Amino acid sequence: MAQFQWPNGRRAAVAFTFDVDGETVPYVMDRERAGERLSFMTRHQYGPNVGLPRILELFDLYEIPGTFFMPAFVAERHPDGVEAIVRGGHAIGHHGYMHESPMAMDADYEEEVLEKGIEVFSRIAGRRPIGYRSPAWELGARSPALLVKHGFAYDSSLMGDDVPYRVEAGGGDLIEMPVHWISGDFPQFGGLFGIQSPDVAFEIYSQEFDGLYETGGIWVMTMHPFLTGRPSRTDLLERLIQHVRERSRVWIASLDEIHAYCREAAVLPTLKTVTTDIPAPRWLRPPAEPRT
Amino acid sequence: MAVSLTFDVDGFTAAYTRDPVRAHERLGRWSEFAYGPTVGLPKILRLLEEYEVRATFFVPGYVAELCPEGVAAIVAGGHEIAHHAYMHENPLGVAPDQDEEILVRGIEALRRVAGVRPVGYRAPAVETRPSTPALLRRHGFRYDASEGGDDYPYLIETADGPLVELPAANGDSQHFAYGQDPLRGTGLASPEAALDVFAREFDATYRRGALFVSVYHPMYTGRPSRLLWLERLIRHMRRLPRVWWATADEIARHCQSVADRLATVRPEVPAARYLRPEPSA
Repeated sequence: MAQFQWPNGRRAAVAFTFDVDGETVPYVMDRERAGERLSFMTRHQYGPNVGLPRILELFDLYEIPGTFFMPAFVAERHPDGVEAIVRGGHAIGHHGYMHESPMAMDADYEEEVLEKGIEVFSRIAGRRPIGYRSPAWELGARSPALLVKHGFAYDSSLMGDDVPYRVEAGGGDLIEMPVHWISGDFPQFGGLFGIQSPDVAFEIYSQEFDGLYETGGIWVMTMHPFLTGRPSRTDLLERLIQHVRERSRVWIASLDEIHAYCREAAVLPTLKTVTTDIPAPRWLRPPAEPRT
Repeated sequence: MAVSLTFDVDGFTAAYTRDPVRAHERLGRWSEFAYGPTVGLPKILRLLEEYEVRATFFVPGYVAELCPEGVAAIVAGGHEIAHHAYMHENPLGVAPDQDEEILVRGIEALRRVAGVRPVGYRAPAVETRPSTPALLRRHGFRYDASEGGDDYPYLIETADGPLVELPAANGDSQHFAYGQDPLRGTGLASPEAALDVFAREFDATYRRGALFVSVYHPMYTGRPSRLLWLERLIRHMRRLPRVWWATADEIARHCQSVADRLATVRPEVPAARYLRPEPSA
């Protein structure tokens, strides 16, 4: 397969992205009792309150742009954080209102959440978001058409390639900026499977980047300020930025910028195009009878 | 920077926390958790003495009553005894109107056994509720060490004056807790791997001049390989100059003396807005 052409002779693109989930997480994990769990909430407020400013400072130091996906509820609670992101020249994307998984909503409600988020970001960030990342990377088959209908131009939730591709839906399309668990901080630091050292995480991340650099892909790194904003992991992120910048032909950009490049007349036709069809199963074994 | 080693001496209560119904018949599990205060704790105290480190021990009232010699040894070593509920009751599992009774039972047990009036509190499972800080102030507590809102100490506003918060983010349970019935933990990490996590976080905290409060359990860290781990960790942390090693209460007192320079928060959980309806089953 021909290599994807990046601008100005660059070999690969890198987007450092953050899901600023903040106060929505306790409600996602334990909606019944979240209102009563003070200390639990503080561990997640650490993200927008402490981690986010620290990360912005780091990006300022290295003069690189990032991309921040935020549930609208978090944007409403942290207008200063939103303003700092915008002022720093970073991209802001839609990430639900209360971090709702599309798989847990019907189509009407999913649309309502999109509209509500658009309204919040237009008001607080002063612009409509053009990018979307689904909470928990659970995009529904119907979601792309809804995103197109509401004016989104790109999505960053799918895992179908190493380079950007087009998703056709609803009479239009989205540019997909693919992600993967390997390039995310939750599997390393989220605690579901233990907590890794920054060194182990660095090995996993940097080798995935090295591989993408070889083949000329887009490396979308997904982090959370409440995890990567902790002291030793901000140092890890700095190390990672340095590692990426050692390669001279890397384009570090926001997803808004990479999207704009993909939309250029000469580039768009070179993108692979997929539909939202999921092939029907054939000859599927019926589910086992429950044991009694 | 300031460093405080803190130990949650859950011991006997852990058996009842994990299996309240059958704990009194499960001798295997009882022995696993009794190891903490009876075997792990003395070893840890010897290690701290060797390195001349004074630490803070959060002791549930029940553990103090069952192991008065352990409590006496903690006090004799010049360490701080602090509050960790009575039966290690997780606030999520008790009605809010029982919080005060549990707090008082814990205070009385520590007073009776150790002759100490605790001024520091760590919630079991580090779970507090919005009413917890006010309750602690009302009972004369100076600090809490259950939250995770910052890398620096901060103050929590209450009607009875501010409560100092000493956030603690690094603990041994995340690496060493393991249980099969009920399932618990995320697999056993090697001391090597855990050392890497702690040491890196310590180094990064040091560079930022912040607070490093770490959490250990004698039933996990008192085991032979982990005791060596703790020793390596102490040696790692002692390499660096200008670190203030103190008990949590010494740090809390200092925070009170520089209160005007600390951030203040209110003990509030923001209410959800526009929460999607629960999907129908």
